[in-house]
Amino acid sequence: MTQSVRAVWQYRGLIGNFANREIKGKYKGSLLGSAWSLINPLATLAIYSLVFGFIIKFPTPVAGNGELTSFTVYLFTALVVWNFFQSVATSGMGALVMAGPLLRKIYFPPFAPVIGSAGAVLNQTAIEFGLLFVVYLVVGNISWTFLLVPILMILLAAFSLGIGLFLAVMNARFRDVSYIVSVLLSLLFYMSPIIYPISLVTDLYDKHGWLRLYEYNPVTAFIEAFKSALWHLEFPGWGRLAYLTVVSVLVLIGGWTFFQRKSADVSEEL
Amino acid sequence: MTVFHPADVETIAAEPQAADIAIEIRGVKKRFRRFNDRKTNVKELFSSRRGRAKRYDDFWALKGIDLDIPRGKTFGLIGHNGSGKSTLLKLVAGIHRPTEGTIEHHGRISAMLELGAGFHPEMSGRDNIYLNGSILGMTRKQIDAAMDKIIAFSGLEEFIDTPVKVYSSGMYVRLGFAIAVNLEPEILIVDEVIAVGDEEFQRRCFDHLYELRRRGVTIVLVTHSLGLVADLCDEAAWLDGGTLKAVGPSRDVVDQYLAAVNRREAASSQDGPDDLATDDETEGKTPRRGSGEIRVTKVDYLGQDGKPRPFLATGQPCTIRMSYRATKALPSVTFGLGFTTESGVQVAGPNSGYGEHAYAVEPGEGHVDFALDELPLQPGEFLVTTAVVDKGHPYDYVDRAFVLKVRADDVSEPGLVKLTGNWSLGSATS
Repeated sequence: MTQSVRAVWQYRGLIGNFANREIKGKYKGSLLGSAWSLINPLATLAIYSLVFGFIIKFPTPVAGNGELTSFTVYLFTALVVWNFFQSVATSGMGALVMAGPLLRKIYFPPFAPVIGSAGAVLNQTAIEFGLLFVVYLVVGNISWTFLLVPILMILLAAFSLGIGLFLAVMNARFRDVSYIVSVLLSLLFYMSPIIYPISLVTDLYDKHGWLRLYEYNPVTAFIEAFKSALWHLEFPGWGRLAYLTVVSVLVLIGGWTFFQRKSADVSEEL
Repeated sequence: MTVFHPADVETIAAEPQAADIAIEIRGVKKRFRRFNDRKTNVKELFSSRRGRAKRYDDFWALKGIDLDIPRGKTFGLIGHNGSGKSTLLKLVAGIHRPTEGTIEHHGRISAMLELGAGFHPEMSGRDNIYLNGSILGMTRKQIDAAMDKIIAFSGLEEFIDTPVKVYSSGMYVRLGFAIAVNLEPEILIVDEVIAVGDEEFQRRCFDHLYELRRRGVTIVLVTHSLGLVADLCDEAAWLDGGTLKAVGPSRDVVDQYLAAVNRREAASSQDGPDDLATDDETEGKTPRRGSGEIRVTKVDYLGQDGKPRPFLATGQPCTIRMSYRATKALPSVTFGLGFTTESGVQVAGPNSGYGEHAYAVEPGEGHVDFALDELPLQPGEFLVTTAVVDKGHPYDYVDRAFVLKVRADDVSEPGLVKLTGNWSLGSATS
C-alpha cells in the first residue's frame, strides 16, 4: 500500500504534466477557449431546468435558509457532483488509449495518464463549484456544513478514481467497454436523485419495499450527502458518511489493485 | 556511540557490483501471442469460450538471453531484421515485461525509441519539454536546469513557444533528440534514430553521443550501420532468431556477423534460384530501349577463378561478363556498363571504346568481358545498366536491371569507392 503511494508520489510530476496536457489541449483551437468550460455546464443546466423544472415541474424542497426554492440551483448542486463523478470515471479510458503510442515507445507507469486525466477534471469541477458557491453566497444559503464539502470531495474522488482505473484497464483490452459504460451511465444518471428530489422515490417505500435498495447506490448516497451539506444545510448523518467512506476506500483499493495487476502488459495491448 | 544503519551497509555492499554493470539481463525470454483474429470485444470473448478453439500462435521473440551491459561503455546490438534486437531494447527500457527471466538496471534509463513520440501537437515546444522530461523521470527542477541547453541544442529558439503541430518533421526530431540527450541520462538507449535530420544536425548528434560516452554514460545502441557499431561501440552483441550468437569487443562481433552474412548469402544463391536478372525477367519489366538487333541476355560476375559469384569482394580481381544474342552482323558495336547506387548516384560508366576500338559482332550468341584487377567498389548494392550502341545509335539499353552485390571481409573505410594509393610520411627538414 505504502509502495503504491510512493509510486504515485514519485511520478507526481508526470501526472501533473498529463493533467496539464489534457487541460491545455482540451479547448485549444476553439474560438472561445476556456469559456466553454463555463458555457457547457450552464447550457446543460438551462436545458434541464426548462424540461424538468418548467415543463414537468419536479417539486423542489425548500433550502436550508427557509426561502430558496429555485429548481435550477437545486439541480445545479447535484449536477456538479454528477459531472465530477462521470468525468473522472470515464476520462481514464480515453487517456490510457491515447497514451498507447507513447507507452509503446517509452516506459512510464500506465497509471500516470489515468490519474492525470482525473486530475484535469478538477479544473472543470473547481469552476463549477466556484460558480455554485457564488450563487449560494448571493442568495444567502450558507452554513458550517459547507466545511464538509472538501471531505465529501475526497471520498467522491477516491470512489470515482477507483472506478476510472478499473474501466480504463478494461477498455484497453475490450474497446466496447466505453460503449457499455455510456449506456450504464445514462441509466445511473436517472437512477440517482439528480434531476428530481429523493422524496419521489422514498415516498414509494411503503408500496414497494425493494426500492430501499435505491439508497445503497453510492452515487445516490453521495448526491444526497452533498445536497444535505449544500442545499439543506444539514449534517448528512454519521451512518451515511461511514457508508461512503467504506465504499470509497474499497472501490479505490479494488480499482487500483486490478489496474496494477492488469496494466503491466498494457503496452502490448494498446 | 555508533548507530547501526542497515541502509548504509546495503549501499556499500551493492556498490562494487553496481559500479561495473549497468544492465543485467538474466535468462530473458519473451513470448508474443500472434492472434489470428484478435478478440477485442466482449461478444467474441464469450462466444469463443464455448468453442475453446486456440486462436493464437505463440511466437518467442527472445529465447533466453543472458547479457551484462557494462557501466560506462557503449554497447551495440546487431542482427538482421526480426532477430529480436528491438524487443530486447524494449524490455530493457521497461516498455514490455519479459515473459521469463529478469532485467535489472542501475541508473536512470532514457530511451530514444522514437524521437518526439510523446509530443502533444497543441502544446508549445517548451511545454512539451516539460512533458517529455517528466516521462523520462525528471523532476521539474532538473528540467528547468536543462531547459536552455535543450533549446540551444535543438536550434529552435524562435519556435519554442509555438505549438509543435506547426513544426516540420525535422524540427520535431531535433527537439526530441535534444530532450533525450540533454536530460542527463545515466543509461541511454538509442534505436536507429540517429539517421534523421540534416547533415549538420546529424554531426551534432554524433558529437554529442561521443561526448556522453566520454562522460561515462552507458549507451545501448541498435543499428544496422555496422560501421557505426565498429566505430562508436566498445562492445557489441549479435542476436539471431532470439538467441545470442556472440558478445565481445565490437570489431570482433561485427566481423563474425559479416562473415556469417557472407556465408548465408553464398549458400542461398547456390541452392536457391539464381537471383540475377535473366532475359525473361528483364524483358518488359525494366525500361529497355534500342533497335534490338543485339540484346544483352545476362550479366555475370566472375571471381578470380573465373566462376560466377553471387557477390564480388572489394579489392579483389574480378570480371563482369555481358552475354548477348545478335540477330544480324553488326560491324561497329560498343558495349558499356553503368554503376549506380540505390539512391541514384552514378558511380562509374566504363565502355569498350568507339571508332577503331569498336567490335564487329557476328549473328548468334556471345559475351564480352570487363576485367578489373582490383574492384574499387565498396561494400553495398549497385544497380548495373548495360548498353550496346553504335556511336549515337542504341541497339540495346537496359536501365539498372542488374544488381551487383559487393562485400568485404572486414569493415572498410567509408565511401563508395576504395582509392588505392600510397601513403608516406615526410618531415620538413629532409
